[in-house]
Amino acid sequence: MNDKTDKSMKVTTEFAYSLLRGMRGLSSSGQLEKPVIFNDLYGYILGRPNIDRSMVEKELESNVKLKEICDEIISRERTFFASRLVAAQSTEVLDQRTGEGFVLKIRESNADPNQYYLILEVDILSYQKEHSRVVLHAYTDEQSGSCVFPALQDGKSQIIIEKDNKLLKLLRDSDPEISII
Amino acid sequence: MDTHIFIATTQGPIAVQKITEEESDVRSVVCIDGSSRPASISERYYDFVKKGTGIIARNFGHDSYRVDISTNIETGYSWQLAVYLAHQLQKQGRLGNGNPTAGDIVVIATGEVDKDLNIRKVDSVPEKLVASLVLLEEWHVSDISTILVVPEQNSLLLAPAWVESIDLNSDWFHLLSLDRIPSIKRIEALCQEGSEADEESNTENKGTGKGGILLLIILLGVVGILMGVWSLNQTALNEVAIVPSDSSLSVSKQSIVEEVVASDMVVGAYQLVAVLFSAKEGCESNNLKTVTLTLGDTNHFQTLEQYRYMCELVLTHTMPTIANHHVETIDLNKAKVTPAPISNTKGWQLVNPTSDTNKYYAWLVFDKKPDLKMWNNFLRQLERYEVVDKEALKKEQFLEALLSKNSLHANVYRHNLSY
Repeated sequence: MNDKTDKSMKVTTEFAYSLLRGMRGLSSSGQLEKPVIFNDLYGYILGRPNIDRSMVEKELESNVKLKEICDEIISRERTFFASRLVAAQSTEVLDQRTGEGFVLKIRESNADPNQYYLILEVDILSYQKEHSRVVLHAYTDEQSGSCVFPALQDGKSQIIIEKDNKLLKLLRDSDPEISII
Repeated sequence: MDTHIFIATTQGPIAVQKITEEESDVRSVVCIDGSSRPASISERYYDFVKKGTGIIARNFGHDSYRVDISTNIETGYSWQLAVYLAHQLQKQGRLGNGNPTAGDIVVIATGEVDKDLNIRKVDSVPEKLVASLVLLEEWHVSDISTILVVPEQNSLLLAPAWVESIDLNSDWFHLLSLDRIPSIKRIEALCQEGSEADEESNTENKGTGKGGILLLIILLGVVGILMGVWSLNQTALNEVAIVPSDSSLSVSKQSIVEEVVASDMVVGAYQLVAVLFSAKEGCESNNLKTVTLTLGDTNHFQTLEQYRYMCELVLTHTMPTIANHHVETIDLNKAKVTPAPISNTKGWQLVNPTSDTNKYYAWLVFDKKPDLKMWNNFLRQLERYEVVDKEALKKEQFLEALLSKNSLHANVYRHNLSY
């Protein structure tokens, strides 16, 4: 366990340095896009405010190494986890995912069929973050998505997302692994 | 006919656009203007609804709702009364969408609601009323009945003296102060039945005392306004425009130039130029607009009725030959004479009727500066009349006769202003 942690820490640190170096190089040569640095990645995973989440997600889609680092950090930081569904081949649209210590419900809004509620219910006894934000990460080998829930109240939290949201499609149409941080 | 609910806030009324029953496992939420963005009060609304402790679930039989409001509400609990009333209408399938049209009813409410449906006092009620004034006027003009509902404990804040100070037009809305949530139908009845409903509600309240359903304080400040303005002006109230100017409240009154008597004037030589500002901007705005009012065949200037917000009123001339004319302004209430400042470019700046509660002014336009001795005689006689027969000053042809008696020749303009 300790060996594993040390290894991942090493990988993470090396990657962070490489990203920072890249950033310096780009800024000195006046390149266009702001690079994702370790701080962005870690802030994204923990749901910190003032992080450009879409920028990180875009980078994750194209940068395999960064994706590996991201998955590694998530696996270390998560409190709850749901593995892929067994009935992954089913074409049925999913409206609920249950993991160890949490339930994620997906409900279409009666007020606007283009909006959906993501309702997160966690086992509050196992979760010590009642008054801080909760981050959900969902990922397959090819795709990933995440969202930040407001602080839990009575063990529950909820957000509303649009029908065409990438995360919603991922949650409903695929069988992603889900981590709650 | 729809009934629309607005939440009174210091930023202006915020519409309750829609209430939708959601699945029971959805947390009740308030969203902004149909978007997926929750309002800042969303968690408080959840508590207001939820099964067990919330009064909405208890009284409306369902425990999950989504409310759409037109603009975010940052904090507080004063939205509760309006939202509760909106739930009543939603239950009956009659909640308007927040865009009232002619014939509709608008209820603007502020108040916190406890578990027994008592209405608790809230902060900043006067400010909320002030912030509603522009919409109140718009709805009045659009034939939309409006009723303002406030906690009974806040009603003292809306004392007639305060209302009078902002010249609030009582025709624009009904005012209810309540200690307990009423049926929405009762509120609507006030708008539909007018004064009869007011009377009925008052009677009922007297019978039930503090614990009664509805305490009606009718038409806030009507008596105060009427008495105050009547004593000042002795004429009927017609219209009042109240607009916020800059960050503070200012009051503008509507000016109607009704009467002009000028026996030998050259028709078309004189015109009035009113400098106007928009409802949301004050006189310091860069977007001031000027409107020129010409003298018609009936010796009346065009009315200023449609121009409510006036910074300045200037008498101008169109003929070079009268450029040297002299203009004096007479306050017929006080028999006081003040020369009108002369502006070479603008003409003669007249007393701005929107910033003076006195309605009786006359302007004397001389073709040249009058003889000083005759003018002083005229003034002395004018002052004497002010003491012995004040009403005579306001009679038609009085000024003309007095001028003639003193061998003075002037065109006399009177503007009779309605507020």
